[in-house]
Amino acid sequence: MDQNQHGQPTQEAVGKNQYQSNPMMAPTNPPSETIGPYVTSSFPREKQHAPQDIYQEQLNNFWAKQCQEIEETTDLRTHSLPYARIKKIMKADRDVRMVSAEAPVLFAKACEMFIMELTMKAWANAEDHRRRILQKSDIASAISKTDVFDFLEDIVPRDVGIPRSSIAQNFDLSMPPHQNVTYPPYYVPAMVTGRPIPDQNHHGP
Amino acid sequence: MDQDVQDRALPIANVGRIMKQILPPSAKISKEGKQLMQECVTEFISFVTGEASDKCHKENRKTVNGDDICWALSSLGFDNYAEAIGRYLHIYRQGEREKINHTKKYENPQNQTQINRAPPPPLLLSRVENPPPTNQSG
Repeated sequence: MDQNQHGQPTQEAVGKNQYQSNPMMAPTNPPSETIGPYVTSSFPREKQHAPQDIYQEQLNNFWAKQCQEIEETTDLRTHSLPYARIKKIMKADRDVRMVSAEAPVLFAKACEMFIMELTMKAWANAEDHRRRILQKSDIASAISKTDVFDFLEDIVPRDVGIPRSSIAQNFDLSMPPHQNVTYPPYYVPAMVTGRPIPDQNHHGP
Repeated sequence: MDQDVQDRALPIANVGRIMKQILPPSAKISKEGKQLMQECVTEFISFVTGEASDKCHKENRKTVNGDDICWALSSLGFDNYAEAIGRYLHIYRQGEREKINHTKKYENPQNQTQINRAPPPPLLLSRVENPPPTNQSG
């Protein structure tokens, strides 16, 4: 896999366009009729598909880069996680008797890759919800979406992961058709997905 | 926090630093996010170690080595990790081999300090005095 396609997702302000086009629609259509531009079902589908492809490309690039970095490694002493702590965690298992010197060295590298992969997937979830702060729920969501991370299901709090998936399903299934829309004093775009999620209450320092 | 519990988890500062490496510069990480990642990576070590330890028991070995870690990663579905760690293990062992050779070179000058000294020969000279005369009548 030597594809180096560089594609960055650009978030367009679609809500603004709809808001601006609303006054133009009013004089031409009576209020009793259904307004077409609000029921564009193809938009959410396109929105959900493109970032997924970009994300998969990012993941492939990540693993190719990891193998490249390992080949270029000359000094193994540059590690980001303490060997002694890793060894202590390994020996917490009573069945483990002796640990060779190379095992914590390998785990330091494996854990580094684990943290980066899980963080990438969690960040993809945060971006889908237009947030710039990585939350606990983003990590929980990334874990539930990946099969090899099933062993972490016990660690992830249930009350954080389940409501998100159910809310997401509700949002996908129930597209609110705007019939007999009366012009409110202030317009709130229906496409904003951040408001109904209760996890917004968990803000970091 | 309990010191014992804290010792059995990776430092949260190191975990946070690694997370920031993969995120855009403008991104931020909540404290709870770092704590959950810390727990997850600690569980990852225990999970893989348990699988590697089981293999050692079946083969009647006492020491968990690097090959066991690679095998466990592959066995648990972490194929990308197993491939990368396999390369890392190869590079590590090369480094260890070079380290041993360097140590041997360093020890060579010590051999030159051994100088065999011949012990001095015993003195053969002894005092020769007049022997007392022996009388047959006595």
